[in-house]
Amino acid sequence: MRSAPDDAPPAHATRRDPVLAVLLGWLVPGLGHLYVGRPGKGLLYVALVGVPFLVGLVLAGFLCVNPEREPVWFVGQAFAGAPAGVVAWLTRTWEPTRRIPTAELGLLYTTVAGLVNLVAISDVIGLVDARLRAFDAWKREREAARAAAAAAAAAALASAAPPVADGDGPAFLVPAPPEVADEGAGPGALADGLGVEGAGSPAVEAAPAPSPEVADAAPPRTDPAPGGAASDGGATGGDGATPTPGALP
Amino acid sequence: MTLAELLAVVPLALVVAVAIGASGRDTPRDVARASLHTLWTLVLVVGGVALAVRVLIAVFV
Repeated sequence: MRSAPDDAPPAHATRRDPVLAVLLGWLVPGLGHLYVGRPGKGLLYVALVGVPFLVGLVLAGFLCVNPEREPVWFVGQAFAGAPAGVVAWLTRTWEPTRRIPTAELGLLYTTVAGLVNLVAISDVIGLVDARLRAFDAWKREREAARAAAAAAAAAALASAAPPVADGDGPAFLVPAPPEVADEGAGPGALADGLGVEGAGSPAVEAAPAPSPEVADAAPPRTDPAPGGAASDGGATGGDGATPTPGALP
Repeated sequence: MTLAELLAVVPLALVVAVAIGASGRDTPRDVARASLHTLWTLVLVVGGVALAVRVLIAVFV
């Protein structure tokens, strides 16, 4: 039997804001992955973005990230987010005093690092989408489980309700009024119907009186036993007025 | 492009291959396989274009 899911979704199906995930992933490489619960992958992208960016800065003498000198390259570098902005702000007044032979290679490295962060951001979007799909699946499963539980409860309630007694139903479900017994059965049958001990016929007196619990729990017999004790008394159905052979002297 | 310049961009090719290979993959095995596939595709495309340019230069220049 499948248990009903809890109200809280599982960890992999909790929803994340895609806009916030993209912003975090753009500002700090790897932070978007941390936000969506993938710190290992975030560390991988931190390395894939950070190492080329630092190598590029070293190769270009920290002069390659400048939106005024290199506006076209800065478009790609800006995808690295906060690192590019911080470096551009810190080195905004720096001017090259000598020729750096690896400056172009530094530009290439820092720009590729920014574009790699763009790939990381797209991966974050995919992870957020996967979480949303998992959340929707969990929600559908929860609603299905709740509907099944409601249907099972309704079925159990319907089966527990007492059946309507009709002519074809079992006779023991219809209690006979005690006054019916004295219409033709005599005082013995009436005493049996009322459950008075020792007031019935000799056959009744010989039979052991059932305890109230047993009389309540066990369904009384509807067919008269030939020659047996007429202890069915008031519990008999429509035949309660008919004297049984063993009940009457 | 000299050989030194060509070797200087090889790490960038590796970084790009791993980044694209890791995108959308979960297990390290899948990441490694996709990264190798991407790197092989990158080498084929860049090498093919370079070879085609050299051939065109050799023929028409």
